[in-house]
Parts: sequence; C-alpha cells; structure tokens
Amino acid sequence: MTEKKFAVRDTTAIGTTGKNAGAPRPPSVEDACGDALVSFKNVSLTYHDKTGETLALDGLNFDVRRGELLGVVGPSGCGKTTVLSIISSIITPSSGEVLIDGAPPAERRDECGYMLQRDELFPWLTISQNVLLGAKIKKMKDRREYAYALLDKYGLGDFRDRYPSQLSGGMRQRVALIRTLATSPELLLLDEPFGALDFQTRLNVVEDVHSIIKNEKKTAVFVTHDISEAISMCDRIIILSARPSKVKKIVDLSPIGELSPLTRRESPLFQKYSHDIWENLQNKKEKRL
Amino acid sequence: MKKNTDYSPEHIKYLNGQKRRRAFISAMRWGVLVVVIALWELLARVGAIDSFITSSPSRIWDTFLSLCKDGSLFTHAGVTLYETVVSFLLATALGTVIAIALWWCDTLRNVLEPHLVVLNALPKIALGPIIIIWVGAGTGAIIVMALMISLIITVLSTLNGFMEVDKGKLTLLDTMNATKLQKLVYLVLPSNVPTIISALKINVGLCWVGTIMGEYLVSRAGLGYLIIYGGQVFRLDLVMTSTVVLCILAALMYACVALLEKLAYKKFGKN
Repeated sequence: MTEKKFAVRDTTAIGTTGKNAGAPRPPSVEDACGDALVSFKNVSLTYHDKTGETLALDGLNFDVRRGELLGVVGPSGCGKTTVLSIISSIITPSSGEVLIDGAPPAERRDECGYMLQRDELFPWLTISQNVLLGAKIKKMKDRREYAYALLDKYGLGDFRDRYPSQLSGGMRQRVALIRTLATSPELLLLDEPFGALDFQTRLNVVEDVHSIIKNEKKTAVFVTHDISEAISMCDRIIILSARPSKVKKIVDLSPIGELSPLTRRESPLFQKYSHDIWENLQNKKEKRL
Repeated sequence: MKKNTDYSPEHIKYLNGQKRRRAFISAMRWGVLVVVIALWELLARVGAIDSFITSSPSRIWDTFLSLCKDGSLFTHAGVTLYETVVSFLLATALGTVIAIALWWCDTLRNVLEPHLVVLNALPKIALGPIIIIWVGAGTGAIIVMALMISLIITVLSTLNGFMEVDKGKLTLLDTMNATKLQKLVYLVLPSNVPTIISALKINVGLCWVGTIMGEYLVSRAGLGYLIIYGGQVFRLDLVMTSTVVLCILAALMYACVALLEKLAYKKFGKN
C-alpha cells in the first residue's frame, strides 16, 4: 500500500519539482544493492557558534534499506542525533547529498516520523488528542480511525480519553510511538526512545516497539548509546567514530535477525556482537586521549 | 473516590483529625476579625481611643447605610470598579499580545528587552503629570495609569513563560514540521495558561493600586476620590467606609481570578 503511494508521488515529483527532474543520478556503489530508502552520499556537516566552528560529520556514506531497522551507535557527542535531524530535514548538511526515495529530505518531510527520548506527550491533551497531534499539524484528514485502530491493537484502546499523567512510563512511550505512526510515515526515526525508562520497563518496551515496527512493516533508523539495546533491536548497526564522525564499521545482524529482542539477548552471538561493537567504540576513544 | 466507610478506623481517625484542624483554622480566621472589630468598637465606646480620628465599626456601618441610601456609594464604587476592570482586561489582553509579538520575533525581543526592563523599574506614579496632560484629567487618565503599572510586568512575566516552553516539545513540533503559528497555538499558549493566570493574579492587585493612585491624582468620583475627600474634610468615617468597601471589592475580584485559576489548573496543570 505504501509502495503504491510512493510510486504515485514520484511521478508527480518529477513533473513538478525542477531540482532533480530529468537529470539522471550518477550511479554509485550503493545503488547496486538497489533497495535503499535513504542514502547518505559523502555527507558532511559543520556547526557554527560563538566559540567557532565544529566539523560534526565528515563524509558519511551509508544506506538505509527498505524495511530494515538500522541502528546508529557511536561515542557520545558524535552526531548520531544530527543524522536523524538531517534525514527529517530539520538540519541541512553543509555538503554531500541525502536522498530519501530519490528526493531530498525537504520533499519527503511527511514520510518521516520522529520519536524522541522522552515521550513529550502534551499533558493537557487526552491520549487520542496526543496521538492525532501530528496529523492535525500536517493537516491530514481521516487519521482518527487508523490511530484508534493502532491504540486498540497495542492495548491502549481503553485509555483513549485518559490524560498522559494517568499512564505508566512504558504506556506513555507506546503512545508516543503510535503518535509517530499515526501519520503513516514510511520511515521512523528513533532518537534514544528508551533512554528515559527504567530497566525493567525498557526491556518490555523494546520488545513492544520492535514488534510494532516489524508488524507495521516500517523502515526505521534507531539512534542509541546502548549497545545491547541496538543489538537486540536492529537488523544492521552502523558504528560512527568520535567527532568528526565517519562510518567506522557496519555490523550485519542477519544471523540473529529472526529473533525477538529478548531471545536475542540469550543468543551466544549476542556476546560476540556486543564485544565487537564495544571494541570498535573503545579503540577510537583511546586514540583520542 | 472511596467513601469514608471503606477506610480502616485509624485512617478515619486521621481524616477526622484533619477535618477538625481545618475547622479550627477557619474558626480562628473569623475569630481574629471579630475580636479586632469588637475591640475597636469597645475602645471607641469607652473613650479609650478618639473615634473622631479612628472612627468605629458602628460609625462605619452608619456611614455605609447612609451612603447606600442616597446611592452615592454605588456610583463611587461603580466608577472605581469600572476603571479597575477595564484596565485589568486591557493590561491582560495587550500584555499577552505584546508578549506573543516579542516571542514571535527574536530581533524585536532582543532590541526591546532592555527598554522594557528599565520601564518596569520606573515608578509609574512619576508618569502621573504626563498622563494627565496627554490623556486629560478624567477616567481615561486613571485607566492609563493602572494600565502603565500592570502592563509591563504582564508582558515580562508572560514572555518569560513563553521562552521557557519545554525544548523537547518544541523539537517534537519541529519534527512534525509545525509552523510558528501552530507552535504558538498548540504548545506555547496552552502550556502557558498557568503563567498567564498567575500574571492575572498579580494584575488584580496592581490594577487596584493604579486605579486608586489615579483617582488620588485626578478624579471627581470613585472610592479613591472619597478617601481623599474624606481625608481633606477630616471625615474619617467616610475614609474608613470607603477603605472597607475597597477591601471587599478587591477581595471579590481576587476570588474570581482564583476560581479561574482553579479551573485552568484542572485542565492545563497536569504533568
């Protein structure tokens, strides 16, 4: 269904928006694997502030494949969140090219759903009003039924008219995910979405969120500093180096890809992966010191 | 809500204790008032204090009745109430609009902020003569005076609330591509209802100050005028009566805002 919507969009995009229209894209290695929903090509970003300029991203190259859950890990302050900001076109990169389904992020804004570390539910709105906030802002009609169906499906139907203060932390985070899903984005951007939860709740919410994303067949980019969380959720993990960050390594988790987050934690490969990722994060830090 | 009968005996005992304490505090509050009034009356009657200078509750009551009879009390109280309510509403509306404008335009805010702070520090009574000359000696001048006193502080406190809106929630709206107007309507205004209400609470007091001060300066009617007039002709009964009426009116207006606050907190105070 979403595929179809994209196909329709593409034809109109070529017709109306002059920038990329007609001009054939230069072929690249990434194109060879074909199924990229998002591609970063040599993307760099420089921050400017009073104290000077900082090179945050230094020529990032990677793809987000359609339907995958891609993790992004890296030392703190390396620009993980910046990657999401670029995809959702809150920030424009200083150089390089980002394409989402063949178009620049600014034209694909409605295809991205962003989920933040804290649930950021508005305390003065009911759960259903909160869930429909994105649709209201994007002026999308007829989202109510879909949103309510999602709430019902994920066990929040009875809380529709409650206020966020009446829900537990885990429930609130699920509401936040449903708010993100309610506008039917193709691509989910998760920015440490479990950071504010306690450990017990976290394991359960990771399980929930993973199954919701896979159920709804979404593509997702998941930024975290928690290695074990990344391994338990993702299909692939990109390791970024410390600032200025580059892609250090991409870890393919397909051998444990079929397992759920909790069962992955029991897999013997889990240790191997976490050791591997930890080493990669560690080396860089020592070099820097 | 559970009923009392569902609780254990200890808890009922605790609840009753709390209830008794509340009743005691409430009784004491009225008690203080009654004792002060009774003492005042008694001392005046026995001649321990000169009721020509201090007046007395019974003389205040008599003055009140006679002012009611000829209707002049209602005229004066009406004038003062009108001036206060108008300046209060104007200050709130204008203050909020100006705060929105300053929130909207960073450059405007950065340019005007120091001027606002200086204006806020200025004792507004100093502007009295200027206001009288510009607006004319009358109700207009009084309203402008009250407005001057309450407007700047409304702007500053409301703007402060606007600027302290949760950054995470703003980011959320950014990720939804919300426009500035949408951010204002969906986030900044609703999350600042408590701030605006507490600005209202301050404004009630300030507007009364402004109105009475204005009436001292220019008026020919109003409770402030009665007080000044009573003082000049040494009719302390009139001064005291007007002050008591003023007290009651100010308390009523404050109670209205407090009620509004309660309602608003029910909806917007949850966190």
